[in-house]
Amino acid sequence: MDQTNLLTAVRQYSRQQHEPAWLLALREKAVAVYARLPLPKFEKINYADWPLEDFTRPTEQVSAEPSADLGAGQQFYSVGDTTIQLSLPTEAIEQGVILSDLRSAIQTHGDLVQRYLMQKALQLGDDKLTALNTALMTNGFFLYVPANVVLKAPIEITQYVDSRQAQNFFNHSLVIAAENSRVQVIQRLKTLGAGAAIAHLLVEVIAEADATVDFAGIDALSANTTAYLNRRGVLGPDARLNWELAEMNAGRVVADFDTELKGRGSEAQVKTIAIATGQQTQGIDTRVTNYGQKTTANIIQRGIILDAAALIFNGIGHIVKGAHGAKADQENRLLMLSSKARGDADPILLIDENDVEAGHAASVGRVDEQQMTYLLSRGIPKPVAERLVIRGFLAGVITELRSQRLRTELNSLIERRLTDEH
Amino acid sequence: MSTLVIKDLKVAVTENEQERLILKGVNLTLKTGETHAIMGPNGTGKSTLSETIMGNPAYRVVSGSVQLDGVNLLDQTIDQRARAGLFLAMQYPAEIKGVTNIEFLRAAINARRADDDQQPVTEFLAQLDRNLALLNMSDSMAERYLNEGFSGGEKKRNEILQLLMIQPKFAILDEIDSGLDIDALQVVAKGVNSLKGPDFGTLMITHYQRLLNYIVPDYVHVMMDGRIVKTGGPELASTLEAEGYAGLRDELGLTVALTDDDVK
Ligand SMILES: Nc1ncnc2c1ncn2[C@@H]1O[C@H](COP(=O)(O)OP(=O)(O)OP(=O)(O)O)[C@@H](O)[C@H]1O
Ligand SMILES: [Mg+2]
Repeated sequence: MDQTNLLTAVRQYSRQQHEPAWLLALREKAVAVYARLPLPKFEKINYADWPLEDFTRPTEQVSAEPSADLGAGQQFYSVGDTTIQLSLPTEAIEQGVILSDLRSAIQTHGDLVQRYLMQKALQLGDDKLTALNTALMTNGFFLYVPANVVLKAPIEITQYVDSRQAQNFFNHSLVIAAENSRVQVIQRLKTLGAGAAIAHLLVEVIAEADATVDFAGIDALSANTTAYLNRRGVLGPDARLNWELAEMNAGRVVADFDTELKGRGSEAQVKTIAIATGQQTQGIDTRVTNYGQKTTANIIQRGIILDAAALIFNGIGHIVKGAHGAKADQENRLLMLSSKARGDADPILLIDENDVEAGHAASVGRVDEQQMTYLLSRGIPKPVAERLVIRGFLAGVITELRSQRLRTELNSLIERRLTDEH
Repeated sequence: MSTLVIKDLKVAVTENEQERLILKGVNLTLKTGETHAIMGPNGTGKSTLSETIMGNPAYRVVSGSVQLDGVNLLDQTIDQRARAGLFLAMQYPAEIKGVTNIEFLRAAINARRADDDQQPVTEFLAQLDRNLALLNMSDSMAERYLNEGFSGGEKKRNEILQLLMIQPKFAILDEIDSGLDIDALQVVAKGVNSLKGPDFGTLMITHYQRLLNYIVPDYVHVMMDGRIVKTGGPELASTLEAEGYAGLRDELGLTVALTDDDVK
């Protein structure tokens, strides 16, 4: 689709949806920016030939509800563009918490959406794919937690990419934790159906002063789904953001998980585990930038590579000038279980201030033969022994997860991921 | 009753791309119900023998056979041999971070059982508690990562814990006494002795008579230069302790160079 056609299609969609003028203006700007920006750069990954820019004109697509209840217990459950289930505890509603899909939030909470969408965390002009998403986004979830509200139970989100029919998936979500609020979000991303799909997912997390957000992203897209994932957080003074990310996808994925520590004293933790199998490539850029004074960034990533798969962890720690007393630490480790596996764990540190602390560790290793022999010598068959070693390797991150339930969920997801294809 | 028969076993290792013959024709028959000890100078091939029986791929069998109840073990992988009933308590056990002792033991036990007959957790824990108590080990040892940060003596105890949990037909104990204090030595011996019976056979490798005071062997074999050169009863160990290997070598008229020839 050329730029003129894209612009026409975007305008048409915006009109059909009765979108406010500011949003149409944002989309129009996105189309212009899309044309001139380069693809986001992922070191050591060449994904130029992935079909990430294959799309059709945006429409309000409807997905049939699956017969099985795939969203049991979820506060938000969607398939493709269609929101199937939406619920909040009464207590949360009474405190003014808003959970809806993006499409309705634009209509009912337009002022809030306008204030945050592509304004605080992500911005137009960052890269081509973010711009494309802004031009074509049709839905997502919108969560607003007002000042001083503390939600005890997590907000659970399950979103399916619908590959039962050919359709766009440009999803865009917002999480806003206003001053001194506290919220836990679990976002699960999966594929429904066995068709091929392209998925674009953007999530913007805004943690305002003194707010705490625990955000778990469990991505388990199918082998036929090619995806661009971008989760971006921005923090106000003394805010905290804890990312817990599991990349259990079976298809090709490039992911950008970035955090901007803007407010003085803010703190981000990023814990990532990833498994790559088969012929798959997964590239994960994790960046935390310290802007504010006395800000703290901590990245821990562990990945497993099997078969002829490739997994790349680029960890980027950036301390900008003026971020006095900032700390940035990262540890990226990969374990390869096959001689055809390819892995890179690159720490990139950019330090523009003096009175700061920065550290990094990285390794790409193979299973220790002596360890394997030891396990085998106790009668444990090779595949089980490998799974034990893998589990042990990932334990460095898993045991650090805050919720026992998530730990259990991830352990069984890992087990399934490793047994499905071997 | 089970029988492990080693016949004319010749084994080579490769070092700096040079192959070197270490075992030069070992013959040995073990039956369940029996306790055997192998003694011999450093570098003579004792660990090579135990690793080869277990199937460590670093050791190449040049010729000869190893059979368990008539079944050739040399075609089998390490884990198959283990499930067939062999257990090797290693001289240098590996450390595996992230895998707890408990997880590891459960995997080892369940690997010997059918998928629909896995050991119930309560039964496992009862068995574990009993064996921890027998070996004076704390519960926390079982919850720690496999051998990670264990002292030398703790590792040895942990090998015996595995032995007690797995209950193999034959246990090969490679220098299980090295690095143990006197009390620990007695505890380890108590563990091994608790398995003694008609369905369990032991092959101990040791340098010291002392272990044999606690685990009394039926047979003592002396290995020199890749061969078993003499077999006798427990008294053979005492003779060796008194006279050293050089004496035995000269008595047998062997022309083997010993590393520490000039000691006596
Ligand atoms: N994996 C290996 N690679 C290379 N050489 C080896 C290997 N294992 C053993 N050897 C060599 O084989 C010879 C016999 O070693 P082995 O460990 O079997 O001796 P041992 O009788 O157990 O000695 P010790 O009493 O010191 O334990 C030694 O010269 C040793 O260096
Ligand atoms: Mg040895």
